[in-house]
Amino acid sequence: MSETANGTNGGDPIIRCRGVVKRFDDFTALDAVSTEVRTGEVVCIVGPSGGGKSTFLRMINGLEGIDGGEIVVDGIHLPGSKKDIQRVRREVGMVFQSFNLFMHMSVRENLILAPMTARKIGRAAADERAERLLERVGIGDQIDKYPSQLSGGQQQRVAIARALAMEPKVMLFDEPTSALDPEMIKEVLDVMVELAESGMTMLCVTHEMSFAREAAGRVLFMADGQILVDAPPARFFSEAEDERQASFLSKIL
Amino acid sequence: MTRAGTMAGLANRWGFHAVLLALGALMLANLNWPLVQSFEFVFIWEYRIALLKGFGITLLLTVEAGVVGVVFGTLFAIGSQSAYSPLRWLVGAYVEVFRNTPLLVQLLWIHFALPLVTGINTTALVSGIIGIGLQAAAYYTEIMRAGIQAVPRGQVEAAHALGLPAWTRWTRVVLPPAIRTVIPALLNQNISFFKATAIVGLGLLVGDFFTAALRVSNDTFHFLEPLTFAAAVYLVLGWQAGRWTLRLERRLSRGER
Ligand SMILES: Nc1ncnc2c1ncn2[C@@H]1O[C@H](COP(=O)(O)OP(=O)(O)OP(=O)(O)O)[C@@H](O)[C@H]1O
Ligand SMILES: [Mg+2]
Repeated sequence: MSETANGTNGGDPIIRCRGVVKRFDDFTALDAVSTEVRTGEVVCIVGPSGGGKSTFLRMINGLEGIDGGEIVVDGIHLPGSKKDIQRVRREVGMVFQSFNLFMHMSVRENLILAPMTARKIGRAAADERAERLLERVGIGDQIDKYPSQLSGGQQQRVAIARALAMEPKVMLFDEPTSALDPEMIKEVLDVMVELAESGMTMLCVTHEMSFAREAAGRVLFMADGQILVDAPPARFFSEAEDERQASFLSKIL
Repeated sequence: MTRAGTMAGLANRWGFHAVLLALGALMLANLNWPLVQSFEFVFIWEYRIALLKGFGITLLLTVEAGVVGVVFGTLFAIGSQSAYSPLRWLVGAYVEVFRNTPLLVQLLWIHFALPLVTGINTTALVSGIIGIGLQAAAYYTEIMRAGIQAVPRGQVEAAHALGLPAWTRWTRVVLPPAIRTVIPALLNQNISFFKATAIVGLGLLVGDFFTAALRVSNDTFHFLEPLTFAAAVYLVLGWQAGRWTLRLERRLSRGER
């Protein structure tokens, strides 16, 4: 790593997208998207609703199929076999807007399930990992509760810990704070900032411009299924290089 | 409610009671009292062993319908969610065939027509077990499918995103909440199959409770007592099971996390 901890010159590219296309019937949701994310980089994706941000994120871990071009994650090519997709998913953690915790399982069970079954680590090691990660996201005392007994902010922190328990190389966030009450947004953003500082490679779709300013090395602006702007946050927020970016910025700033 | 409304409601209720009373009186007046007084339930006591044996078979068929139905219904419901369309189509066809033909026709077909095709003869009881099991699987497939579809989409996506193996995704993430939601529906369906065992009995003469009751009638030339007794047994058990299911349903929905 050189320059800054989350700077653009992180490591080797861990995600490489070349001419990625996604169609829903005859509607083109992603139109030849190309970009690279280097190890340790924090990239924020912003843009108007329907621009294709979620679709793009979901294609990186195989939740959506690829209709054209390719995505290479840690050397694994997508589109690929079912096995390739599983391999990618083990290396890529994802955090959703609506948390998506397993509601019939305790917090502990949520955290140990994937490591034990998809990584095949033992119960003791999985427990230890779960406890450590919950401490890290600041809710070590909630391990034996059920998700419904937690606040939204706590649930989202459990969801982040659940993804981290797989020890992924990349974390994807799709509007992780959009479903939260305002007073809980900060506790989740704090965890994300800490994660970014620890060197995790992160792709975040977010409306939290403070987070983009503080933690991101690059900001991508997506609209109409294309990446229209790719700039460091300082430049992205000060000088618009695209008409739609200007109108987007005028609405959110 | 206005005063006039209350009055109207009261008049309505009294009118309703009067009609019920009149109907009841009419029935009592026309009852064959000597016959009622000559009820001889002693026949039932005489045939208690045969009736109990029959009841054992009824229970066997009921439990079998439940177990086979849930196991295969769950497997078929999982198949119905497959990305592989021929499998989905096959499950759909199975469900439609077995839900849209009468049980009696299925039973007779399996017992008399199927051996012509396969060359394997089965006893009446085995045919009955196969028949009610096949139909139960079709009904339970639909129930399980509803349960699976009620599991929030996001949880299934999270399971995918975590890279969980398919086995783990189904057995740990999807099926537990799916089964929990449909337990009352599964039990109610099984009460229906409890009653349907009488059709298996009559159609294939498998010696179930109802067949046993009919035999008492045939042997003693008394129809009233055995048939009334049989009806009462089905009524009491079905009704109790229904009440128990309702209680369970309330408890489950109260304990919903
Ligand atoms: N499963 C789907 N079927 C059909 N169209 C879809 C599907 N998923 C997304 N789309 C369409 O693709 C486009 C991009 O959607 P996407 O969810 O990626 O946008 P987004 O940038 O994440 O928007 P938002 O900020 O509202 O979340 C939208 O027009 C959407 O309607
Ligand atoms: Mg979105």
